[in-house]
Amino acid sequence: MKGLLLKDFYIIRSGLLILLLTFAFVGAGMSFVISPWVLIVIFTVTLSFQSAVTVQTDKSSQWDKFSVTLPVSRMQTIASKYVMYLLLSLVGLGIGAIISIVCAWFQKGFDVESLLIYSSLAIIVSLLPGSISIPCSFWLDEEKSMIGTILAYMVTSGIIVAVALIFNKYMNLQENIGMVIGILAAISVILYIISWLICSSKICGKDM
Amino acid sequence: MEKTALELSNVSKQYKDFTLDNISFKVPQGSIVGLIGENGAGKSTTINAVLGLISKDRGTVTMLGKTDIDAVCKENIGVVFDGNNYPNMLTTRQLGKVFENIYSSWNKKKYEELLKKFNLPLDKKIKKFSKGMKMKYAISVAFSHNSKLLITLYLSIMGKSYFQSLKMNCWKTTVL
Repeated sequence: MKGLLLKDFYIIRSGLLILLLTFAFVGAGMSFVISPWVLIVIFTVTLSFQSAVTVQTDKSSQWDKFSVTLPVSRMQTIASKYVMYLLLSLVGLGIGAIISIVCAWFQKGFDVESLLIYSSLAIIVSLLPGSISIPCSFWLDEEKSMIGTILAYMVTSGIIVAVALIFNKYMNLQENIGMVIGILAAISVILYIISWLICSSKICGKDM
Repeated sequence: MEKTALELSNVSKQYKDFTLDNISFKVPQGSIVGLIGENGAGKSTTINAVLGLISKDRGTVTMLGKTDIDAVCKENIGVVFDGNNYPNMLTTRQLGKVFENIYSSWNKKKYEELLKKFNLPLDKKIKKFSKGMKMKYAISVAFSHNSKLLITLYLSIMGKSYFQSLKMNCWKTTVL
């Protein structure tokens, strides 16, 4: 799997520096207008999204067909995408957190609770769409998988709103926002694992 | 007794508008065998079934003594498709590192020798290669690990003269 991860790393790296610099400067500027903690979410989502893009790159270059002839199983190929998505989410979370802390520090608005809430929110808006967009990328062609990705973010928004509304019925959402976000983050992780398992079992038998 | 590198027995695959019907043949080790047929005869479908790119409805494929494609040591199979199969934005040096981490029998020295023989630069991206260069690159990859069976859809490879012209020692390899 190391070779597959390395290949995806080279693909992502080719456009990553420009992307990171753009977001660092734009994000730093934005942080003075809105909350600096939003940067954690932006960086996590942007970076993790790159992994799903590599599935389409594999298809367009026909690497997906060639990889079947390599001494790696299709299960490993799928696992490499999920692992890369997780790794990029963590890297994005880390970079976003560092920049957010620096910006918050300058604005004298640093607090650990916001850091934790926005970090959890970043996990939710990264893993929830990932659990839909990664299988879509494998299953559908480029055009349809883009629609799948857009739908994934819409579904994510829907889940967040639905959970917030349900909790709002029984408790004060503002007072318990940490708990609600934590539950949503746990749901995201569970759905991501389920998606990984389903994708492995369904895609492995699919004709190329 | 003659050893068989590849054997297909009653391989069938049904599509809506096409049927690959009971294909059986043997490819002895050390031989070069070509599949010849008109367009739509099922040559590519047969090769796809051999490589496990498509599932078979019936029949068995025995490759290097194993009937399950996943059980076959894929280190021993080299594949050259008729077209590019490598990410365009990667260089041959980067791809070499990728394959080094995929094939346990990867021979870096041989890989670099083949690239040199084919005049393929190490730091040029695949997207800047011509079609001919891409094919030569695919052949370099196929021969840089322990390939005992070379399966190709690139017609120019077929024939010993091609390998002789490249001064490549491929007497151990079976070519389909």
